Amino acid sequence: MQDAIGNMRSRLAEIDLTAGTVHYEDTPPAVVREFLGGRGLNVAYLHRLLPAGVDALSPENVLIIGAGALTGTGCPNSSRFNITTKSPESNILGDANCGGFFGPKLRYSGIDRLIIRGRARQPVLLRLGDGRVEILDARAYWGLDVNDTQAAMRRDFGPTCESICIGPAGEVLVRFACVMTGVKNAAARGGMGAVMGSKRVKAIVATGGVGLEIADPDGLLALNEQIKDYLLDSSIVKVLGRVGTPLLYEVSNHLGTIRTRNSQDSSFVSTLDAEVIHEHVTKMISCHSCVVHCRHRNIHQGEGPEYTTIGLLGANLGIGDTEEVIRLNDLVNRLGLDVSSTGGILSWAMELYQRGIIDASLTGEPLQFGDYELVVRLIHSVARREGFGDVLAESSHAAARLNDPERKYLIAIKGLPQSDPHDCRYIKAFALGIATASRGADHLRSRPTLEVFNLPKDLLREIYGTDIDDDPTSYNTKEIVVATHESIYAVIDSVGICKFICHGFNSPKLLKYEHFSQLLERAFRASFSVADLQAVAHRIIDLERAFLNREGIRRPDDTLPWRYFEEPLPNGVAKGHRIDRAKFQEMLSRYYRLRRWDADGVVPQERVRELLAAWDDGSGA
Amino acid sequence: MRKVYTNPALCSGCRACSVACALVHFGIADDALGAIQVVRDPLQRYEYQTVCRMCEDPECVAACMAAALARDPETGRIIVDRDRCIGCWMCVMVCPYGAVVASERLGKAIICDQCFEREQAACVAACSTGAIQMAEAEDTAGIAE
Repeated sequence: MQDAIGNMRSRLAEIDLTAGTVHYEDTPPAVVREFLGGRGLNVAYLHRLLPAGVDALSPENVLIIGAGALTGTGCPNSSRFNITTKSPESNILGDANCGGFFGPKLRYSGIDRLIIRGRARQPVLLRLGDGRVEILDARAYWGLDVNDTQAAMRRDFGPTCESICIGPAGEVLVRFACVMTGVKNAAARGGMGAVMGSKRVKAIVATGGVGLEIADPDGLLALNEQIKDYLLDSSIVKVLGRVGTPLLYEVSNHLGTIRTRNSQDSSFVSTLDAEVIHEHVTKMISCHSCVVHCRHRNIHQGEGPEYTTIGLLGANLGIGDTEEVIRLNDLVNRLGLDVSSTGGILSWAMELYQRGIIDASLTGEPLQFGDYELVVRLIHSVARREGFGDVLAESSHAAARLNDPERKYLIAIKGLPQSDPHDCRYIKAFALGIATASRGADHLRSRPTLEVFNLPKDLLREIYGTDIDDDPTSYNTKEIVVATHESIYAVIDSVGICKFICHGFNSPKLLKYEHFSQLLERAFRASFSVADLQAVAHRIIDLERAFLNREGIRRPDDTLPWRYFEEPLPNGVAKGHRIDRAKFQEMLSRYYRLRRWDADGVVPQERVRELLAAWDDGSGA
Repeated sequence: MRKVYTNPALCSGCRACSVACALVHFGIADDALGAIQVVRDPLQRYEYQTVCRMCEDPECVAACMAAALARDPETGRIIVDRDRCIGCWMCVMVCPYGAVVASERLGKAIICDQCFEREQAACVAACSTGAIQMAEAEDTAGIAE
């Protein structure tokens, strides 16, 4: 089995914060073979180590931080790592993928995965370097915001260290606190920062010292160059490198699908268009080994904004001033809050206020869309759990306090507010994708946007392996579309490469299974055929679902916000579109059959046993 | 004499150059082992590359007390004899451009060899923005643009 993964290192450090101990071991090659790395290996460990029903903010929860199989190898856009745990926001799988520079540095420190258990008695930081982990006193850093924490890390551990950390929001266990690295890279979704805060880990700093042995350095470099040149020739890579993700705002706005004022409207101002944003940008910069350079260093504060920020803190809150949106973006980043949930929860409260469902006796002041100063105050109060902010900090758990117990006006699925600013009433595959995504309302598990590109039939057949209905508003064959995208995204998240250079996310022409297979061969002499990688994807998706099943998730949970079913979209091309409940259920049934789950969305026990068999393959930990 | 030139204005800070350099010279992916380094601070909002500028009268060679450094008059590159280098970091301290890498792990200095055995320098081939280029030293007009 070692031959099959070549010299791919998969070293883990298991840290028990309660006992103050660190244990090192290698992941068994048989398990690496089946789950690869990053998101895949993370969920394999989470499923194995975490029993059902554990309180996500208790010491019993397990926080797993793992680099992708190709992370740090220097191949294009290989910067990424995943943080995986039980989410305190959704109470199901919490899994957040993040770029920047920490992932490679984690590997260069001689460690590929951290498993953090227990709870420290006082604030600590973990220092990784030379293949070892030290647990250090972090009381001096507690209370610092994200930027100040990382500045302190550079001061105390040297300017070439890379760190991840929580801000004030993570310290006080805001359920949508994120983990940050740099001034804007975030393992954003699902409250990863709250779990880190619950363990009293302020930061994890990596200093390197080991590196990553590459089996065929010249071969890998030649392939990297070839892929880089191919990517640089792509029009989508070029435009992403010029203006970044804000270009998607105009697409959604044109369609009449940009979530506006808590999805009560679906079109908004043009002052958030990419070209307008770009007037506020001084330089486009990148994550580690990136050939796209989609990150904006802006003239005001920090980096960004991304499409998600423009949507969720802009249109969704009724704020159209470009500079104000950029400043809100930097504020939530510094405090360590997830942009998507912050926007989703604030807009929920604003609509409830607008409808008279809550009033100033709870909120302390009137809540109105478009009020920038109010939003700044609310964000600060959430991040410190002060006043009404303490209610909002509970995210979807605040439903009863907010007098909306059924979460009728919350744009969320499985307790996780929707991240993509795109209203899913128009593109039906998008709706199915977020309804079934393994971490709640999430577009990054399956984002099926190739459909709107009007691609030729034969190309669609090549992508999906069969004929699909290319009308984005049709319900037919969308289960095939979602499953196809889900599979390759699961592999992308497990090799640690950015989706922006991969097949399916924005273009049908970028990196595919074949490329990952070649890269793994050159980097580690690891032998993964296309079919092997597809089998890895299948395992990851099934095991994530099995984890959800174990936490009680069934068919009724695979649904959409009330508004998506009941209210037609009000604007643009998409005007009049909504989701038909009966057709949605039929689409869901077809999706379950394709995935070979039962009619209630449960993975058969036989399959679950098969997924766990690798641990007992003679080399089990 | 060919030479690696860098343009910080085009540098996106990705460090692909450093990793490529480390792969060519050590077979290890680790940006810390690159003879070309990207100095970056996202908080202070800058990134720029450092790499040997092939001084005609190099301070590093003059300062080396172990006789580990020499300038090759033909190619202009600075040759590090790793068997002789004792890791005293005098070269690191005197280099006016911060272009000598002090590898604590190796206990040796790392200086760009211009990839003299390769058709193209690894860092140049890896760069996706054109921020690193190789040119004949006498023929640099236009590179800065």
